Amino acid sequence: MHRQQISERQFFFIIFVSIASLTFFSVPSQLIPKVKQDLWLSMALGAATDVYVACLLYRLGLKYPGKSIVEYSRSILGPVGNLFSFVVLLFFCGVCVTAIWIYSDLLSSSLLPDTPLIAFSGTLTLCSGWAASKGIETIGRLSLILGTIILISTVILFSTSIPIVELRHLLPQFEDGFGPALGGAIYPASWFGICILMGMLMPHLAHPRKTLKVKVSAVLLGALIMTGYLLYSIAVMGVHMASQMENPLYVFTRITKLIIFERIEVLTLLVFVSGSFITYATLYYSIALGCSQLFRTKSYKPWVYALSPFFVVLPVLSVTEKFGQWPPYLDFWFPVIALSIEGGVATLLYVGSLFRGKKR
Amino acid sequence: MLMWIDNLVDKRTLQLTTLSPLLSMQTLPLPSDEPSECLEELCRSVISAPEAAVVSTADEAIASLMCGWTLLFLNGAAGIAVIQTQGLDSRGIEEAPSSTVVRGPRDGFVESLDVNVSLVRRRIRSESVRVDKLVVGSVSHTHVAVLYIHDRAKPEMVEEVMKRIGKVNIDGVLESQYIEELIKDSPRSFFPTVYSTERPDDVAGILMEGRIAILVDGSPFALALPCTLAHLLKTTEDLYLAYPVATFIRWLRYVGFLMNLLLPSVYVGTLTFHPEMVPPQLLSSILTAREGVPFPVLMETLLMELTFEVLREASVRMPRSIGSAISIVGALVIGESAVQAGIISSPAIIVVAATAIASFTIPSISLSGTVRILRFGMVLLASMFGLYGIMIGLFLLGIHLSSIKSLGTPYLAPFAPFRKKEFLKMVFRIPWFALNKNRK
Repeated sequence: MHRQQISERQFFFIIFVSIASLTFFSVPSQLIPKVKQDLWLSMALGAATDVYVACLLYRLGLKYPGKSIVEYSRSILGPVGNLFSFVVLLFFCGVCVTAIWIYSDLLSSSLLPDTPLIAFSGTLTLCSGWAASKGIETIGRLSLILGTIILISTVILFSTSIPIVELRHLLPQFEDGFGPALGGAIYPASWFGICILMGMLMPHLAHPRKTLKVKVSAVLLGALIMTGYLLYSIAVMGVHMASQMENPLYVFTRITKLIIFERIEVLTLLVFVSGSFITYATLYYSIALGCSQLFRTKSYKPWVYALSPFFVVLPVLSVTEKFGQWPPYLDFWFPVIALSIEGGVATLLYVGSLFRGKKR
Repeated sequence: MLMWIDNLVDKRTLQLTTLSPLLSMQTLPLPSDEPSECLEELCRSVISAPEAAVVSTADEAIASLMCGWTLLFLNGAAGIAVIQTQGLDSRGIEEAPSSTVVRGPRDGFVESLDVNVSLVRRRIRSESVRVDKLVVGSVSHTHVAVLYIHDRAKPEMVEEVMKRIGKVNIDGVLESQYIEELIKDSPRSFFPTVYSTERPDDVAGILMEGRIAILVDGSPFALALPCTLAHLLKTTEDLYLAYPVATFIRWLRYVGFLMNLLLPSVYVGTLTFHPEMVPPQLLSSILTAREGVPFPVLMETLLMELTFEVLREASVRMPRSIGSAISIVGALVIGESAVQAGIISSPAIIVVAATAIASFTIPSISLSGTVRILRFGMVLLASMFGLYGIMIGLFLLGIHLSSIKSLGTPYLAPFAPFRKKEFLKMVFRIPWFALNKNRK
């Protein structure tokens, strides 16, 4: 099979866009009510956790050049490695379903209230599935354009919001000590950790040695910008109001005014929706490619088609069964499972590779 | 025996280069006793036509005869001599109607391949310019010329173009569009991946950039490869204008492209799903104008768009003298009457008219046609999901454009993948003095 290649710049934007869009839709409602104005520390710790995982995956990637996490798991742990790969792929699927559910829920409540949820999960799956079937080169090229749009719109939004920012809303810092900020770090860390898909993308990079530098820069920029969004929303609305909102970032953009246009929240939302398309497309591609490597099929494309019904239906089923109103899932189980797999699998594989190296 | 087809040969050339020299030999001995050798000697030293050769098969001879060449048979000779006496009438060189310029050369390609090649060669007088000729079409035997500068064009690209043209299996080629469709990458794509132009200066510029041009006998449209989206939004005139003006016009063209694609869908999507985004005073004016209009926004927009497309098609097909009258009747009389009768609102007419004007800023006819079709798709998506629908449409379009290539070059280059030098050249018209400085 011909292996498609992406440049470092494209990899940078894939990671940046993934971090930005996942954080936009998922983190605010978890983080702001619990950590309030100290959330910058949680975001920094989340980014640090992801950098740790990135270091391990980078070393593994260099040790097993041209192999994805699914392939070198098998090389390191033998048949048990296949189980590890299966867990990782299952986790990716879980992330996709959870993220599509959060995304559809937000769009349904704020953008198109009369549209059924399945329309959102269906269109998202169609767009990301099509991109995934075209391959990582296509996703990489598109991420360049969309990443640039996210950056430009962020700069415009931040500049135009300066007059309505009230810095006193960001004080006092560490009112309840460091505990909430340290505890809250699991939310951004669990979502940032999705970038474990670096393990699937590294073999596609033109210069794998530059992966770590590029990945760390993308994570830091993504975390910085999203911390900016979160702090801006608190500074504009105040902690109390921001904590009440389903998505404070969306409400913050509603308050902002751009020249004569007053309600630009739809545009901001759409910019991040486009970013989500890239994130899901990358995840979708990684899952399909991983399945083809795990089950040794010739092409990954049949997996793209086979998985699509699950991504369309499962997020909608989750809502109908009141899954979304089950607080322990997003507040506890998702971060714990995510961190165990993202950090745990990477660490175990790294340790396993060290032992394997010694045996040789 | 001599054989030619009247109307295909230039009688003066025939007389001067073939008949007179042969008649003058009547009293002289033949150059050789062996007929085949004699025929070759006649071609070499007696016949003064620009080209003369001996072919061995009847098929080759007939193909030449059909092209306006004269055949010379000699009793006992194994081959047949073919003599270039072609004299097809061709249209005079005029300004290219599909791409007029305010400043720049006025000559355009004609239907004669030789004239077209000479128009390009006149601009690049270098021995590096290569013209490789092929014959395409099992019935039409159309001559096709592949032009490139051999030390600038990538050899693998030239080879690929030759291979693709060589593979063309068709009865006849009556226009370069036939070749375009048969050699383009992603043939199912709506987007043109082969550039076409009627201007020799454009082709000269293309060759200087290291790209490859294809000229087809009988067509005034030259083809060029590779061709990206950015190439289709560039014109030759950009290079003839002052650089700040050319840069400004180029940006206007990018805006025009987006307006052409998105303006009607944004109008439909915003009014149907997100009226809160429109400033209150503007919204109030639009709603007042729409009062009493019996159609919903989608129907109104589609109706106006279709009317405009019909008018455009009618004005192209009508004789020129009536064409302008049709436009005036369509635009002013029907439009104004429809608004006064309360059938259509004036904002819808403004949107459709602005879109129409924007569509004329796209220099490529093929790209403009593609955008016209996609615009309808965008309007339908906007009517279903509002601005979210437009986002879906744009993303799907983005996936398609990111995945297609033209002769190995990604279609969205130099934007994605990002190539800094080319990107700057596409976004700005770099002044010549800056380019010279870089070269030094």
